Amino acid sequence: MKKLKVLLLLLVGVMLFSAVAPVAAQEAVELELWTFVNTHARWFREQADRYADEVNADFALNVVEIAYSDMHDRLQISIQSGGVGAPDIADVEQGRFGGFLRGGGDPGFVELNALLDQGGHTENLVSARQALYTSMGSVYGIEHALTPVVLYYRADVWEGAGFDPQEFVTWDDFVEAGRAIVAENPDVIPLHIHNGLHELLLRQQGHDYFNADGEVTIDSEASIALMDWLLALKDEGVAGDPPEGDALWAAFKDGTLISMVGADWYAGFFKDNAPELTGKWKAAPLPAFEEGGRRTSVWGGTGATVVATSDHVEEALSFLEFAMLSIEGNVRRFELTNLFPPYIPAMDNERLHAADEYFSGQDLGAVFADVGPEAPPQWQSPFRSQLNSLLTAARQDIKDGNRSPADAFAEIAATIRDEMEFES
Amino acid sequence: MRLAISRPSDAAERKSHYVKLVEATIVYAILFFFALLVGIPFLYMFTGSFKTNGQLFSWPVNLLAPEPTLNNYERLLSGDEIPYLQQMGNSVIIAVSQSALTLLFASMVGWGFAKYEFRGKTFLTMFLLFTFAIPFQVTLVPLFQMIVRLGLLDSFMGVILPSSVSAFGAFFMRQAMVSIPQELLDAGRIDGASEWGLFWRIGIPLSRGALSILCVLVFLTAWNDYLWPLIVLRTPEKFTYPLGLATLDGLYKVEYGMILGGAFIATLPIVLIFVAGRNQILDNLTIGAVKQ
Amino acid sequence: MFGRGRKIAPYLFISPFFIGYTIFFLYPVIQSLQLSLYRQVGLTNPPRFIGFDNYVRLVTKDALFIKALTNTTYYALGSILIIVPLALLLALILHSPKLRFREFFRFLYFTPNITAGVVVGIIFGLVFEEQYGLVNNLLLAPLGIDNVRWLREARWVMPAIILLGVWKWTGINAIYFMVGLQNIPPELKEAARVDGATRPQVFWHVTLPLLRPILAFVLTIAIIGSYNLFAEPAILVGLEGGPNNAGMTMTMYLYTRGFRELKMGYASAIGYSLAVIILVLSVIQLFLIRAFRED
Repeated sequence: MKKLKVLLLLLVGVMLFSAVAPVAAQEAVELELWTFVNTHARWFREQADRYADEVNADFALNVVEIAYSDMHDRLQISIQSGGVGAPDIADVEQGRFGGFLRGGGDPGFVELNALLDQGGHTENLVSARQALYTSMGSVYGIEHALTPVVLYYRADVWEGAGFDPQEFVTWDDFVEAGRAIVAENPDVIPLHIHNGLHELLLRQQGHDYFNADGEVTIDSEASIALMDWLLALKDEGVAGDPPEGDALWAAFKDGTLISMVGADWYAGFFKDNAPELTGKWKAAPLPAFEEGGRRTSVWGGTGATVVATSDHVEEALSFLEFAMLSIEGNVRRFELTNLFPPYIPAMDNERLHAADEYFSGQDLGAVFADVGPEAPPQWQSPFRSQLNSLLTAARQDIKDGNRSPADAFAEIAATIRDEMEFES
Repeated sequence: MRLAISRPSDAAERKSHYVKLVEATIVYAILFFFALLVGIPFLYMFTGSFKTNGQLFSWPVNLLAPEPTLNNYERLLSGDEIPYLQQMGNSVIIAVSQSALTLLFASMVGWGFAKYEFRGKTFLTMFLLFTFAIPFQVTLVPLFQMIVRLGLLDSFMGVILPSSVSAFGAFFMRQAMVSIPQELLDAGRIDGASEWGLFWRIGIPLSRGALSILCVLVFLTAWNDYLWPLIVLRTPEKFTYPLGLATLDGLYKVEYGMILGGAFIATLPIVLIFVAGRNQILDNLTIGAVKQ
Repeated sequence: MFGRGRKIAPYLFISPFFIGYTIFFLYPVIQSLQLSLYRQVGLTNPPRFIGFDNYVRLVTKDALFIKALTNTTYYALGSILIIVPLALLLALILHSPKLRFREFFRFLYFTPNITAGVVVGIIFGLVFEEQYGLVNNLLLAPLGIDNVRWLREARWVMPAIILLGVWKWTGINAIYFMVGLQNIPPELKEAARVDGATRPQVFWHVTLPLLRPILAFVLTIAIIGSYNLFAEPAILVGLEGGPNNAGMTMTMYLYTRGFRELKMGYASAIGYSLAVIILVLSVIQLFLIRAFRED
C-alpha cells in the first residue's frame, strides 16, 4: 500500500518536474548548436568563448555532438514539427542538405542572403562551395571547408622505396610505383578504395553523380569505367578495401595502408586518430588522369545553418558572421582542424602556412592553396542523400565483384529516376 | 576376473555409475560452454570500458584489461560529450512513471473485469482480445503525428502516455484478481466500504505478487526501449540512455571504451535487481506463458 | 468518487484504461488505415488521396520492401531453428535432478535477455568485428578458419544477427521450457519407463507432446519478436541495414521510410502490410498446432 502511494507521489512529482523544468530558463542568451564532427565541435566551442570575450559577455553556446545520420534525421523532423527541440544553429553535411529541400523547397533554415550581401561576404566565399547550400537563389548555409582533395602518403614508405609522390604526374605513375611497392611487400595496400573514392575521382574527371540540371548521372559511361578501373587495381593488389572504422586506423598504424586520397578535413582526422604517426605523413596534389589535367577534387563539406524557428536568430547570425566570416575564425579553424578556408581573404594568411609537425614539417596550407583553384564543381540534388544510402548498400557487393558496376549503377539510377517521377 | 564373477545387476550398477560420471561430465561441459558463450561478451564489455581504442583494436585479442584506464569513465561522467548521467536519470523517470501508470490503469481495469458483471463486458473482453493481435507498428505514424499535434514531442509525457495502456497488463491483472474470494468483498460492503475502498484495501494488497511481476516487466521494457523514445525525444538533454549510447556509437570518432563504460553502468543496476530477486522473478516471469 | 453504486463502479474502474486505449491505440489504428491511402511527405505538406497506390507500389515496385520481408523471414526461421532445439536441450539439462549450480546457470543464461537492445548491438559490433572481433579471433581462428567479414559482406550480415538473437533469446526460452517440464507429472514418465521405454522414447512420446502448449507460446513470441526486431540490427549495421540492406528488418524499413524520409502515408501502408502478415502467420500457426493435436 505504502509503496503504491510512494510510487504515485513520485509520479506526480515527476510530472510537476517535467512541466516546470523548461520554465526555469537562464537569463543570458544560450544558443544550442548541433554538429556531427568532433573537430568542428572543438572549434565552435573555442569561437564561442572568443565571441563571449569580445562581443557579448552574456553569450553561451551549448555545442552538442550527435552521430551523423541521427543528427540529420532529428533535425529534419524537428524542423518539420515546427521547431520542437530544434537547435539554433546546425551543421548540415552537403550530402544531406538536399534532403531538406524535398517536398516543397523550404528547408526550414534562415535565408542568409541579406547577411552575406550586406556584410560584403558573398564575393569573399568560394561560390562553387556555397552552391551546395543554395536553392532557387536563396543561400541557407555557410561552408566550413574548401575540401580540396590531396594525396596523403607515408613519406617514409614511398620515399624509402625510391618514389616521390610529389613528382607523380598521372595516376599511371602512381599505379606503377604502387606495383613496385607491392612486389616488395604484398601486405601493403598502396591505394585505399574508401567509401568516397569513386565519387571524388569522378569529380576530378569533371563528372558527378548528378549533373548541373539535377539529373542522375551515376550510371554514366565515365562513372562505370572509373569503377571498373578501381576494381582492376584491386584485383592486381595495388588497391584494397580494409574494414572501415577503428580497424581502418589500426591499418594505418600498422603500415598496411600507406596512402589516403582525402580532403583537407582528413588531415585533422589523422592527427586525432593516429597521433603516433606524427612525422611520417606528407601530402601532395592528386595525380591527374591525363597530363596537365586537374590535380584535385572536392569531397564532403558541411555548411553551418541557422534554424528558422530559433528564438535567437539575430544572435545566431551575429555569431556565425563572427566565427565563419572572419579571417581569425577561418585561420583558427585551419589550425585546429586543417579545414582549408573557403573564405578567400583568409587563404593567404601566414598562419595557414606554418610548418606542420604531423606532416613531416610540410606547409600543408600551401598544398591546399596550390590545388584549390582547380577544384571542380559539385551539383546539389534533393535526391542526393537517397542516392547515397542506395550506394552504401550496394558498395560492398560492387567491390567484391558480386555485381558489375554497370548493373549496380543502372539500378540505383533507375530507382532515383522512379522516385523523382513519383514525387513530381 | 572379479568382473566376471560379479552378478549381472552389479555390473549394471557399475556401468550405470560409470555412465553417470560420463553423463555428468558432458552435462557440465555443455553448461560451462554455454556459460562462456553468454558470459564472455559481458566480460569484454566490462574490461573494454577500461581500455583505449588502441588497446581494443589490437592483436592479440585480450579479454582482460592488463593496463586499465579510468579515462573512459571520467570523460563519460564529466558530461562533456553527452549528458550521460542526466540521460540515465531520464530513463529512471520514464521507466518509473510508466510502471506506475501502467500498474494503476491495468489493476483498475483488471478489477473491473474480475469482480463485476456489467453490460458490454463480454463484448469488451472479446474486442480487447481481438485488437490485442494488432502489432504496434501500425500505430507508429499516426501516434507520432498526434504527439506532434498535442505538443508532446520531445517530452517525457510523449514517451510515457502511449506506452502506459497495456492490454497485456489488463489481462494479466484480471487473471490475478479473479481468484480473490467474493466473500471478502461482501464482508467489506457490509462494513460500509466504498467500491473504491474495496479495490484499494482488498484488491490491491491481495494481488501484490502479480503487481510486482507486472511492475518488473513494464520497468524493464521501458528501461531498455529504443524505438519509441527515438521517435519522440529530440534533444540530448531529454534522451534516455539507449539514445545517448547510440549517439556516441555513430560519431566520427567512436570512443568504444566510453560507450562500453556507459553500457556497463546502465546494465549493472538491472542485473543487480535481478540477482536480488532472481528466484521470484524467474519463477513468475513465465506465468504469462503457462496461462496462455 | 466511486460511491456505492455497484452499477456504475465497474465502468469507472475500466474507463481510464479504455479512454487511454482508445486515444493511444484504437484511434491511431484507424487513422493509420486512412493515412495509408494518401501520399504525404513531411508533416506539414497537405496529404493527397491516391487510393491503394501505396500498397500496389509496395508489392510490385518496392524491391527494398520485399528485401526487408525476406530478411525478417530469414531471421525468424534461422533463429527459431537454432533457438528452439538449443533452449530445449538446456532446459532438459537444467531440469535434471541433483544438478548443482542450477540457479547460477539459469540466471546467467537469462541475463542477455534483460540487456538493452542498444547495448547488445554495441557489444556485438565488437564481437563480429572482422579483424579484432571475438568470433573471428577466439572461435574461428583456432579452428583455422579465415576471418569472416561478418558485418561487411551481405551474406554474413543476417547470420551475425541470427547469432546475436540466439545469444539474447535462448536463455529465456530455456526457462519457458523448464516451466513446461515442471508441469509434466513425473508419474507419466515413470510409467513409461516401467513399460520399458528408453529415455529417447520417453522424450519423443511423452515429454515432447506435453510441451506443445509451451512450444506454441515460444513460436508465437519468436515470430512477433522477429517482426519487432529493431534496436540490435539498427546499432549493429545501421538503420539502412548495412551492405546490400542485408540487415534491414521490417520495423527498420518502416522507421526509415516514416521517420527518416517522412513518407507518412507510405509508412502507414507498410505498418498495415506488417499487420496482415503477422495475422496470416498467426492463423497458419494455429492450424498447424491444431493439426498436431489431432495427430
